[in-house]
Parts: sequence; C-alpha cells; structure tokens
Amino acid sequence: MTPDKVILRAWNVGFGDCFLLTFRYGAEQRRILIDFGSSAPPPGAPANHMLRIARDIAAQGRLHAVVATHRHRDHISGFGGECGKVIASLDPEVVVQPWTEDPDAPPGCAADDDVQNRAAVENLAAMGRQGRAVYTHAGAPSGLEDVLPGVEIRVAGPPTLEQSAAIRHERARDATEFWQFRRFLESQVNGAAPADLFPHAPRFAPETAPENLRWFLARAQRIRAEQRKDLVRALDRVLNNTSVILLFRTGDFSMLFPGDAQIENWSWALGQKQCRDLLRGVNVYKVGHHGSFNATPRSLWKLFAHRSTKPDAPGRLLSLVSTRSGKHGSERAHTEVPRRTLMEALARESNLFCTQDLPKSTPWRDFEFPLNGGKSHE
Amino acid sequence: MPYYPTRRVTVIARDPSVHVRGAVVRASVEIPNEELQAGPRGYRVHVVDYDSSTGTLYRTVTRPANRADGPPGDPFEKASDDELLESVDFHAMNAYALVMRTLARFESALGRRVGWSFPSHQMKVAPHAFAGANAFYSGEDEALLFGYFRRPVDGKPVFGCLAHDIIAHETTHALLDGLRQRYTDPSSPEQAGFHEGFADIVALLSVFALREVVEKVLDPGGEADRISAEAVTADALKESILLGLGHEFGQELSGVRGNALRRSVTLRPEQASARDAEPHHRGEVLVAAVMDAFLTVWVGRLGPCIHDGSLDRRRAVEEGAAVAERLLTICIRALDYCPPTDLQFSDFASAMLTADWQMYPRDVKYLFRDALRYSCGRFGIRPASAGRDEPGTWDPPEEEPAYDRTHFEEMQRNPDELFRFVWENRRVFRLHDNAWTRVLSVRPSVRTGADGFALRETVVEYLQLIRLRAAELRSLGLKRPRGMAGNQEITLYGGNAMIFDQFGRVKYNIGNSLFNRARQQARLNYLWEGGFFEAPATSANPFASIHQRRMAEFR
Repeated sequence: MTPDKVILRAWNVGFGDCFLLTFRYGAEQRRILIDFGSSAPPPGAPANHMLRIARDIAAQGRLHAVVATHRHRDHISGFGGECGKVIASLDPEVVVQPWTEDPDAPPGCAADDDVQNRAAVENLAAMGRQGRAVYTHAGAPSGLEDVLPGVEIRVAGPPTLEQSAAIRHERARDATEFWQFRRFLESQVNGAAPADLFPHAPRFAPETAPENLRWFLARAQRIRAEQRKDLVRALDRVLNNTSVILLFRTGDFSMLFPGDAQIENWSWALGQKQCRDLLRGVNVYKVGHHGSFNATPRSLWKLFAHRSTKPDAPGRLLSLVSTRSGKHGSERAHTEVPRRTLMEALARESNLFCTQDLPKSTPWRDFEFPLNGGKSHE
Repeated sequence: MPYYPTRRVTVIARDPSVHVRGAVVRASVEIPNEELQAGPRGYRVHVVDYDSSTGTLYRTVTRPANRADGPPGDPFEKASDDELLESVDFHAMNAYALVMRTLARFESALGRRVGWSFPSHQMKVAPHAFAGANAFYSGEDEALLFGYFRRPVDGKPVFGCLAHDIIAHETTHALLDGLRQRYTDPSSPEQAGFHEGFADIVALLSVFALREVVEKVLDPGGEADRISAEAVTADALKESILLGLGHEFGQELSGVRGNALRRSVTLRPEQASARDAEPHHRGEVLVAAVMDAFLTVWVGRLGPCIHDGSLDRRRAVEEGAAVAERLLTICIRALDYCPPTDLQFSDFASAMLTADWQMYPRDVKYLFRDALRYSCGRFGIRPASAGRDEPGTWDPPEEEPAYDRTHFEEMQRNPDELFRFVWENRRVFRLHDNAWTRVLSVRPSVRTGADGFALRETVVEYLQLIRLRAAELRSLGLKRPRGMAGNQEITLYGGNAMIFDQFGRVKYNIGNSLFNRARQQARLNYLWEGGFFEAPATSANPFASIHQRRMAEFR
C-alpha cells in the first residue's frame, strides 16, 4: 500500500506550530497532527481561536496519530484544556514524543510540581496510554510505520545522551545528571523564594544599609534579574533541543519537520552520511523554531538540493514558517523572530510560505502533493 | 615594632563534601595580615553578604580579629563542622581568605602588585549573592558573586562560597581579565577556551598545593605511615584523585564548577582532537595537559623515595603539594610571556617554558620543562616557538630596535614614553601604519627564584586595531570568507607583549602582527563560520553566561 497524495494543512496559530498531514491511499485516508500549540494568538483573533482550530481538525475526520515535538507551550498548549478534550476524543492510535518525555526510562523524571504546561503534558500521556505511546530518538523507529504504510519515516533527532557523547568523543553523561539539571533549571525558573538560610544571623534592617554598600546592592538586584532571564533562556534551549525531528519520504518526495531543534540537536543527523543524503532530497521544509536565527544551521540549509534562486524552477523547495513577528527578540540585537536575514535567504532560494500572511477569514492553507512523481500544486 | 606580615585563617580545603575520618577536610592558609573592618573589608577585598533573592543584607564579621604585633587570632580554628557550615561569619571569612590567597599567589608569582580589571581597588565579594547554582565574576559590578542552592536529593543547602576551587576559579577570571583585557574578544576556540581552562588550572593547582588535600588523595583513611609504591604511579594517582575528590562527592556542585577535575584526569590524549572547535572542550585539553605534567613531575620526584616497595606518606604528600605550588607559579608567570591578543595554546606552551627557563635555566630537580614538553605534546599542543637556546621557548627579536631616542627610566612606568619607543621602531616591530595603536600596560616586575636571585623585567603590552570593510581585506592579503557581504565591518587585532631586561633592552617581543595572514585568516573564517557576525549581542556578562551554559548544556 502506497499513498497517492499528501495534503499538508498549516494553521495560523500565531506564535506556535500546528500542521495536519493527510495521506491518501485511494479512498482511505490517514492523518497525523504534528504539534498544536500557541504562545501568542494572531493579532485580532477571537478568544476561542485555538478551539476553532481543534474543531476544524476534528472535522477533517479520524486522527490516527499525534506528534508532540517537544514540551513547549507554543507546540503543545492545544493538547490541554478544552482543545485537548477535542483532540483526545479523536482517539489517536499513536502518540509520538521525544525520549526525554518517557516517564519510565530515566530515573526520577516523573512529572513533578514544577512541570510547565501540565494539562497538556498529562493529556498527551493519557492519550498515549489509551493508544500507544512512543518515545523516540535519533535513528530509532518513529512508531508511525504501521499508521503510514509505504512511507519511510526517519527520526533524525533528538540524539540520546550516548549519541551526543559519541559525536563529541567523550564519555556519556550520566542520565540522572541530565535530569537533575533539567529539573533543577525548571525549579529555578518556577521556584519560590528560598526560605531563610541563617535565621539567627544578624542583619541590617531594610533602608539602613551603610552608604558604602548601596551602590553594590542596586547592582546585585539588577544581576539577579538578568540571571532569571538567562535561566529562562537556558531552559528554553534545553527543551528546544529535545525536539523530535521527523523526515517523511515516499518515492522521491520528502518532507522535514524538525520542531524547534537547534544545532546541538542537529549534530547527530548532520554527522551521518545516510542522513545527510536523505536531507539533501527534502522538498518541503518546516522551518525550525519559527524562523529564529539559531534553528536553521547553515550546514543544513546548504544541503537542500532543491534550493534554487529561480522562482519558476521545477520542484523548487517549499519552506513553511509558522510564526508571529514582534513577539520575540529585537531587530537591533539581531534576535528578532523570524530573523530577517534568514527569511530573506528562504525567500531567495525557495518558495516561502508564512502562516502570518494568511487572511483572518481563512487562517489555514492546504498544500497538496501528488505522490507519483507528479508536479506539486496547491 | 614592625607590622606582622601574615595571618593564618581556617578554610575548607576543597568543599564540605570532602571528609577524612568523618570530618570536613580543612586547611589553615597564610594570607597577608591587615587591619580589617567589619565584613571583612580589607585593602583589596570587601565582603558584602547581600542575598538578592531574599533581599537580606547580613551583618558579617562585625568584630574582625586584628593585631599588628603578631599573627591575629583565628576564631574558627577550634569550631566544629556544624558551627562552620552554619556560620555566616565563617562563610564570609572563607571567601575573603581564599580570594586574598589567590591574589597573593598571583602577586608573588608575577613579582608585582596585580590590579583588578576595574579602576577601583576593592573587589566586592558576595558569598550568598543569589539562590542559584552559579558563581561568577562581573567586572562592571566589581564583584565576585557566589550562589547557593538546595540539593535536589535532600534539600540541604550547598554553598558556592565554601568551595575552594570555585573561589579560586572566579578570582582567576577577575585577575586574568585585569592582566589581559583582550582575552574576552571573539577570536578563536582556543582563546575562548583559555579563560575557563586557565581558571581551572589555577583552581586545581591551588587545591593540590594544600597538604591536607594531597593527604586525602593518598591516604583517604588518614592512618597509614607508609604507602605502597603501586599507589604512586600516574594511573594510580589519577584513580585516587577521582575517588578522593572528583567522583562520588560534590556532584551537586558540578553545575557550578564544571567537570574540570574529572575531565582533566579522564581525558585521554587521543580524545584531544584539534578539530574539536568547541571552546569549552579546547579549554579542557589545556587543563588535561597541565595536570598531566603535574602528575609526571610528582611521580618522577617520588621514584627515588621508594624503598622495598613502599614510601613515606608524609614525603609523598610534601612532594605533591610542592610540585603543585611550583607549577602554579610557572603557569601564572607564563601570562607575562603570552601575546595580548589572539592567544593559542601553542603560545601558552612556549610562555610556560620561557617563564621557567628564565627563572631556572638549569632545572635539575624537577625537570618541569621536560614534563611540560612531553605532556603538551601528548595532547597535541606544540610550542609556538622552536626555541633557539632552549627547546620550545621564545626567541629574542631578530632585529635590534633603536634605543637612543627614549629613556629607559621613564619607560618603566610611562606609557607615553613607551609608545614613543614603539612608534620610533615601528618598522622593526612590523606595525601597521594605519592601525590604531596603544600601549595597554607597563608593568615593572621583580621575581625571586628559589635560589634567591632576583630577575627584574618590565612587561609591556601594546595593541593594534584596524577596522575595515570585508572588501578591503585584500589589502592585507586576506580572503573574504565565502558569502560575506563586501560592506561587512570587520575589526582585526594585533599586538605584542614586550619584555625588557634590567638594562632596558628588549628581551622578547611576543605577539601576533596584523600582517600575520595565517592567524588573521583563521580567526576571520572561524568567526564567520560560527555565525559571530550574525549572532546577537551577547549577554552583558560573558562569565555569567559561560557558567550558565556549562550548567545547562545538553550534550
């Protein structure tokens, strides 16, 4: 059994990702939802924007599998609350998540009090228990093989601790250590102020600090604020690098969905010749991390053979960016998302589609790709 | 009556997790004596115990022990472990003493006063600066900040300000930043890794220079009079170091201190690939090479002490601490013989060899230079200079500069006089005519060798800097990296460390010229490939975020 067509629907969720893949096998259809989350709705969207999208997903018909690339709000918020109920009611057979979410494997990683996006995380786990939960890593099966016959599915990331260590020619870091760091970071970001460490130690009453200390106290408070910002960034990066990277291929057509993977996550795939060969042939690239400067490594972009500076080149690469400008970063610091220079490169060498360009009336677009070597059209 | 010069202070030898016979291993360290104010606040260090997470400003050491006619008392000498761990006063004194000890170590090695990187004289030290597994130096805040956190396992507090190696590491960042201000410039993986690597080297050797720590490594039970010869081979010592200090204890601090100790003894030479461009990993290679030299010399010193398959424990301990102390001096002194910009490890290797050769031309006791050449070589670090008179050391300048237009007396302290000397000799020194040129520092030094003879040197740094557009790189024989826009603004650095002997002659002129095509091109390519020209402005404090990354790195 091989599919004859795939339809990719991209919604404008604001700052976030939501993609539905419908593979057509003659009269039969198989659907996979890759991420459903948003951290900022599109400007002027109604309050129930995400719920509408959930219903729209339900209206397409049966949902066979759900992929939650990583545990960030902008990728999984839709799996919690009312939206989550709608998705759960569709009874997906398989729920794919990165190995880092596996509640059994690593010691002490069971959901604790500090978990972010708790409702969504729990609903994903519940759906996994109802159907089949797959926690995958680079080089491992995706768990979608039975859902999508005739489609080769390659998991290119995230690497396990051992795989990362192998790339760096060093001893594998202990899994417990990794978990401690991650939980530790989470507790630092979300944790309450610590209790009094030295209850009996003498101290200055507020406002009575000696003159020669005041300058430093003000500096110390500012450092504290910066520290918190750095911690949030560090935690973000750790989580982005747990993104599942999926490559779907059938015949000579392939699509790449890397979540928010950054360079550390890509390093395994880019180091494997076989993987590099597969990446070369990508026809549809879901741009990583909403177009931020650090999620599309130059070495990855250079690999794509279907890049072309000629807009009418046959089989030209399609780049999909799901984003909302003005939410993160600043142009002055070159951190704006999406990053202007990246978007320029994408527009120059591929057909660029950006969810934030969709009209308010129809906040989605379908891309249809015939799968028998035919020409793609919308 | 003359002022009594030093005082002894009880400190925690490494960190509170290292025990012998059920008690925390402590040491009594000797630091400069001075009349302290509350805090303590002295002439170079001011402890301000402010916790920004809870907004608490503790009153610490309100009545410091002071005495001018003899060593002041040490109030913590007899305190129990619990009393030490629970006393804010002890935390403050521990931090003060170890920062002062590190500073005094730099000053005695370099033979002169060493300033901080900022204009004021007193470093603020915050022993409980914030709740968080981090510790860092912040130049713009004139401060060393140590965090604390609760252990995930049992909720017990862990304090950065009680870890000797962490305090020495952060103090070293502060001192190195003052001595070589351009080492935080973006340049190469090795320069980026040097700050961390060097701080780790100083931290580890400072800890090993304490007899109490070496004792713990050699005899964890604290009972033996003699130890087996099998316990003092390089491999066995590595194993004991791990067991005694690095492996099972103090794991919770690994987020703050990194894994320098563990990596330095487990990193095998064949893993030290020069292709690994990750700055942190490059830094670890340097640490591993220096620690390998430490073990090589130590093992070499113990050989003759072995009789009938065993040796005296105290002798082995004394030797270990002495070797660490001497190697630490070599490493710190080497800074004066390093180029002020674009430092490579090969430069540092030549600098260490030169530093030792200058002081001990005939090294018959320790054979440090043989060990350094051997260990650096094992880890792929080849000295930058072949060495005409001694293998691996820097060579004197080929061409004689003109001395007759300047006065050496004035040149020993006046940057303008020195600039005139550099300017008048710009052709001899191969300077770029259109670059912005500045004398960064002039530092007269008197170093004393173990044999008592004094070596007078004046160490001068000058910098050349040129800003141009990528399209103009050709004028320097450089290629524009592929894909770089022609109007991309680029800054190139060059500069030298110049060492004058006591007669005012240039002994060494060590540096990287703007005309050094190979190095300038390598730096440019590295920065371009690494996305430096694309990357966002970095966080205000590079040291805070380096350590943050170390903690959070997912690998």
